Amino acid sequence: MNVNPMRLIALLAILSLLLIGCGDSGTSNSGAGQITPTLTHTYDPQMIDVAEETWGVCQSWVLGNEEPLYVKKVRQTNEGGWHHSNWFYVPENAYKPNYEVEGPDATLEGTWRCSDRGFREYLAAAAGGVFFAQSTQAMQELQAFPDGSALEIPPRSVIVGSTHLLNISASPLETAMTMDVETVPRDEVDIRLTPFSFAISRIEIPPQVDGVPTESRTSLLCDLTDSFQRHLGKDEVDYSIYYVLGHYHQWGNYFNLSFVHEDGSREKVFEIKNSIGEPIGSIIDPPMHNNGASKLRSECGFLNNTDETLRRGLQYGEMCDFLAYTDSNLKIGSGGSENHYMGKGENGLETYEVDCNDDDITGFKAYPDGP
Amino acid sequence: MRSRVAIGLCVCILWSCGGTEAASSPGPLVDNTKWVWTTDGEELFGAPPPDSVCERMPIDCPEFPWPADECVEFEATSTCIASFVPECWPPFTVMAVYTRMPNPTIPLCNWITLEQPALRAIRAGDQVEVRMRHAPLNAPVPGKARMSFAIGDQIALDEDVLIPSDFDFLSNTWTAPRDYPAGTRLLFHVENHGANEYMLIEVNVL
Repeated sequence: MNVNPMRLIALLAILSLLLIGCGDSGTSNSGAGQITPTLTHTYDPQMIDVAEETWGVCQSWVLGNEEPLYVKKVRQTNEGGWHHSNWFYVPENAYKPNYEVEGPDATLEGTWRCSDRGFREYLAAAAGGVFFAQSTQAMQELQAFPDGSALEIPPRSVIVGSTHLLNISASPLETAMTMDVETVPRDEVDIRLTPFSFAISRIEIPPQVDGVPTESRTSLLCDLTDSFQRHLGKDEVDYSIYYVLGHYHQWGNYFNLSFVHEDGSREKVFEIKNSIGEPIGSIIDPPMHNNGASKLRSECGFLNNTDETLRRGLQYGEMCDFLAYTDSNLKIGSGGSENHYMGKGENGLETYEVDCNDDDITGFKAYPDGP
Repeated sequence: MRSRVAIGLCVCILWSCGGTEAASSPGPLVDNTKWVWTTDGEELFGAPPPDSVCERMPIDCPEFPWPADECVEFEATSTCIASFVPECWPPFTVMAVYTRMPNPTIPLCNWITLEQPALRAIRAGDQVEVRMRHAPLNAPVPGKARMSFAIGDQIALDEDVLIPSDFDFLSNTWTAPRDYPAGTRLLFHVENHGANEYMLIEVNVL
């Protein structure tokens, strides 16, 4: 069977998001918000020496839920040194212990090297979904979905996080994170959130010229009309966005997600400027309705200070991805297809646009009985 | 005449040994919310090159003016560009220096010296620990950054960092050659031309 790489990327994206990629992200309301925890877990303490920075350490929490959980709020508190961490829900069989590498005492729940179990954030997101994204250095923060909405966590799920710790103190640090989760019964949930995910597959970021870094923008504009018709039987594109997480790497300096109307006008949903190299997420509260806009546009800005054209890749490449949770009851993903150089934009920046045809979008109805 | 010389000598000896004025105690030497920009320090760090620049006013920055005596906590979606800012890094307040460029053709800050008076006296022989960190340094390649800290007329930490390089912590324990009263001028200096991040974490009399 031939697999179109573009569709493969779209498929991965749809499964939830190729986007969380690797870094950190902020979320939601900071500080101490109101929460009534129904589940609480403290992960193993981690030791970090003076001036030490650790990453690639994963921690897992086996929920042991026989039924779906409907998550309204998540709060993390930690004892310092947590630079950032991204957390996902995955099936219990996604990251089983690797006894050959970890030894016979390894357990499903605990602390382990991410590489020992083949953990990658985008694969975890594809296997389940995003659960929580810690803001940089935040010692306590609350992620709360707007009233009536919740994230459905399937039965037998595990919460897995990849952690990045940084000890700038003059003493060794032993520090643990505690996670409080507020769940509600299904009958109190009006909206089960479902993911949209775009992950631009063909990125071309022009190199610096004569030692001067080149700033560029790459965008993907997808018309969702066909997806809503085909998978939901709806003639109108009608949805609201509840959460957005953008992702790029160290050369990224801008992200924008906008609704685009038939007349070409744009309505900004979420925008990040000047933040470098870390994915950033945010609850959109109140949720933002598309107001009839059938198209959704994602755009990333890059500042390339190398002599190479940068393309999609992990450590030495770039990404322009996002995950949005919506009330559409539709799961869709797209990687786009052809990338076109459009010359200099009005802002004087090199501009690239990536095609997004109906065939470039993969989608399906999330819940047969409605959101 | 002899008696005057003797009295003078006694005064000098007392002064150099540190009287009660110069008595020191362990603790922080700096308050990272108190740094101000200065043109001082040429005799220690050299003259700024002709193309040196530092945008002192924050750009597109709703958080400015910074809250008095407090660190600044930026929202993840903040648009703020600031060359220096007392930033919250719980449980620390660090003095963060950003040389990130809002426009690739215009450097934000490639030469900066900040000043504040010492919070406490330092006695000859006291040890002072200076701790800094820089993020991964990406640009320009090849290039070199410099991070320095001066106490009075002495440099207590001075490190060159080649670019590119990974993140690193820089620290030095400096032994005071003589007494320095509270209020002595302290200078924190950073040189670099890329879009990078530096921080002074803390300075303590041990």
